[in-house]
Amino acid sequence: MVHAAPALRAEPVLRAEPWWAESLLVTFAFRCNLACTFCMVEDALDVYAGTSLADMQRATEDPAVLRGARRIIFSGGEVTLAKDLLAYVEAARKLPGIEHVRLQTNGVRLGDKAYLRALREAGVDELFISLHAADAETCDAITQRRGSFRRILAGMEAVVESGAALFTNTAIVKANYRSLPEIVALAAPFGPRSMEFWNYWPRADEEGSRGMNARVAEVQEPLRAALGACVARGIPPVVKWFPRCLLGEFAFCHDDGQPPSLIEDRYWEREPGYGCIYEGMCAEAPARPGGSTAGACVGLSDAYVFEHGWEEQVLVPRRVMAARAQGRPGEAGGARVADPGGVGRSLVGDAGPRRSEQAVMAAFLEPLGLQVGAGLEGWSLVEATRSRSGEPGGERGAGGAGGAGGAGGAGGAGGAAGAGGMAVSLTFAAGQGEGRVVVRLYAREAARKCAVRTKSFDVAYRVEGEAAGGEAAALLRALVTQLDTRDPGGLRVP
Amino acid sequence: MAAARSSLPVVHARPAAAPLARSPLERAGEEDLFHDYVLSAYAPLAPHVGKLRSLNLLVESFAVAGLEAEGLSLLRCVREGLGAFRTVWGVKRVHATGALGWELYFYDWERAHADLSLPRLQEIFAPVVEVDAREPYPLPWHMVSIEVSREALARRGRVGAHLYIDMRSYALLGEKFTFENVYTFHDPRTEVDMILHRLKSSVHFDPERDGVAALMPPPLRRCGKVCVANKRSSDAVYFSRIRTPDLAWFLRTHAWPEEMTALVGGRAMELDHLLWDVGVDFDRAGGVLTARKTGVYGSF
Ligand code: SF4
Repeated sequence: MVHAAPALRAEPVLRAEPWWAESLLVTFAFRCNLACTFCMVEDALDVYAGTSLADMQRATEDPAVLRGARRIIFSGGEVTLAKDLLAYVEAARKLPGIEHVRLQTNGVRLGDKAYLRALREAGVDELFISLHAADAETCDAITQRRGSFRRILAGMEAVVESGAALFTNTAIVKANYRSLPEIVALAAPFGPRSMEFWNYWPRADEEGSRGMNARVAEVQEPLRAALGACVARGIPPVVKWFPRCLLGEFAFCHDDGQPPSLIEDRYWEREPGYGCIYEGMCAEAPARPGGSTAGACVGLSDAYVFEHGWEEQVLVPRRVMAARAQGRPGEAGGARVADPGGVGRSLVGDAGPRRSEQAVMAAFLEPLGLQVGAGLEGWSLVEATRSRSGEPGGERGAGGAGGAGGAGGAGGAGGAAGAGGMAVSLTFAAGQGEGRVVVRLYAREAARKCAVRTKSFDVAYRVEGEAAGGEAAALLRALVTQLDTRDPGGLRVP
Repeated sequence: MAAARSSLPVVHARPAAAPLARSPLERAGEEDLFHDYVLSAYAPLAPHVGKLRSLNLLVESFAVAGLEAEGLSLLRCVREGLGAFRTVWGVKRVHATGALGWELYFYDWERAHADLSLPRLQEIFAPVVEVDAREPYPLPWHMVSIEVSREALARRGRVGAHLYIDMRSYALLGEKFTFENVYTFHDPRTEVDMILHRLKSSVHFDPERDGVAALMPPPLRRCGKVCVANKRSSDAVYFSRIRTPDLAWFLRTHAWPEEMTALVGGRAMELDHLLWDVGVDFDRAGGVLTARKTGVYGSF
């Protein structure tokens, strides 16, 4: 069905009053005489007791609860099934600052004029009636009650006759979205103060398994036609939980706000999640995750996304300046997401300087008071390298003369044997001579045979070439003393 | 005709099932530290003292695989060798076989390698598995991981290491490097264009047929950081810092062993101080976008 949007009236459009901002909603009577297929509180029906009259009175003694509210709204379940509803209404009327008492109702009992009169006399002056279809067949199919359409219309008529303010509310679901303009045509003659269109609110349908969500791209045209029809008739429209960016010139009537509510804590456990894939960059989205949704577009329900996806090709974010986006670090659970070590998205800029072998060894030697090039007892530390013991080639760099076979190999006394692992080789050369002393440090291991142990290392050595035994012994004594003194324990072979 | 009213499942509140693991559940103390999978610290979301450590899920996975004792001795070696709260753990589940595997990740953001080196990890792991990986010359890695299969853990098998340099990773077995993965990290709110680009340009993703929501479903998009990885035979997306109910959803959705799902779902109140990290390896080998392997990460 193609709907031509009616021409807009030239005069300024009346905006619907943001009633939720100045209201307190009291939920009770989780029972219903209809069985709408998309019911928002189906899991709560016949389960939650709702707010008792005493609880309502106790809660509203706290000025912070009323917070300047001008309106009490009773909702359910179906409020008109509650036998003590009149007592609630009378109590609400006595609360300070309350100017209006509203019922959110399916309307089917309001055709009972005596009952409606009693409500009016108790203080109800606003009726917010659910109207989900423009014809009896669709309506009765949605409510799963034959005759519901007729009774709802009778209720609306009675409300108008009673002089109370009428508001309508239409849930947008697969079953009715095509006929939204017809619903406006049907309701308009009743003179509603506003018509609200609430996109399916998937309470207790977290993953969209009920299949109620109509694709927003398909809803867009009939919804905009319906909004245009409202505006053309001077009825302020309101849209909730539908992407604001798809409303075009009717974005002004988008309002996802809801009033504060008195309701069982359990109720919130299945509150549907909402979000938009573009929320971090769209000026219409809440400023931060979990932040206030007042005046913002909350995007799509999780249930919708499970059913139809993020609609990233369809939505049109109003992109904020990059500065705003960048100024807001990612957050999760109130915890800032740090970016340690510069985990950005760079593929080339993050590695940092490559460590040289010299730098690794210098860092290792520093706490031991050693430095390549520095002297000790007339010897000079000419080389410090690390290698794996017990492997062919493992001696490479240990002065060149040792060959394969681990630290306990050639030469003098004090070799080590019996275990593998990394080792550091320190090569000392004496003055002019050819002789060298190669000292190896291993991580401590009880099974290893070695010349001496410090707190962190097993120490082995060998003497190569023409080194005089006495000079080598002096070097080793001095070195072992120095290692022993400096080694605090817990040092590692790099 | 409108759709018929679907009936809702009846949910009975049941006490949490006893874990399969026989070792006592570990509880957080005053001094506990909390890290995500890049070993970045976070403040616990709720009072944590006396509540469960994330490690319990890892231990439960060992028990599910029939390797609780071996797994516990691995954890003991790492704790004794490196100290507490320095290690990231991961459990992976291969969907085709249901096989579980484990990986421990060791970070050194300073790249100083002062007390964390491959030889050091070889020593630490030695009682449990033989780590055969030698850095032939010093490399500027910021992370090294040791992956342990069920077989290796059961029989003190030989394993290699994975070195992470820049945004790439290499497998290292002996001294042989094999290039593995490329990673990019993104803020899920402000860098969504980049995420969409990365996912949509994957050879394993068909933008004509696949919805991004299949890879980035609502419970995971609410994470702290998204990482997209290109791998050799699949691609992957990781979600860092998700809450415990979202982890429960993840485990349920990807058909993880019931014992692990029950531990998280049934004891959610005792885990509500934690954030978790998860990942999905995907391809469309059968013509359908499919999760091949999923992983869960915590720290200890
Ligand atoms: S892009 Fe998302 S947040 Fe922005 S208006 Fe559209 S639905 Fe709302």
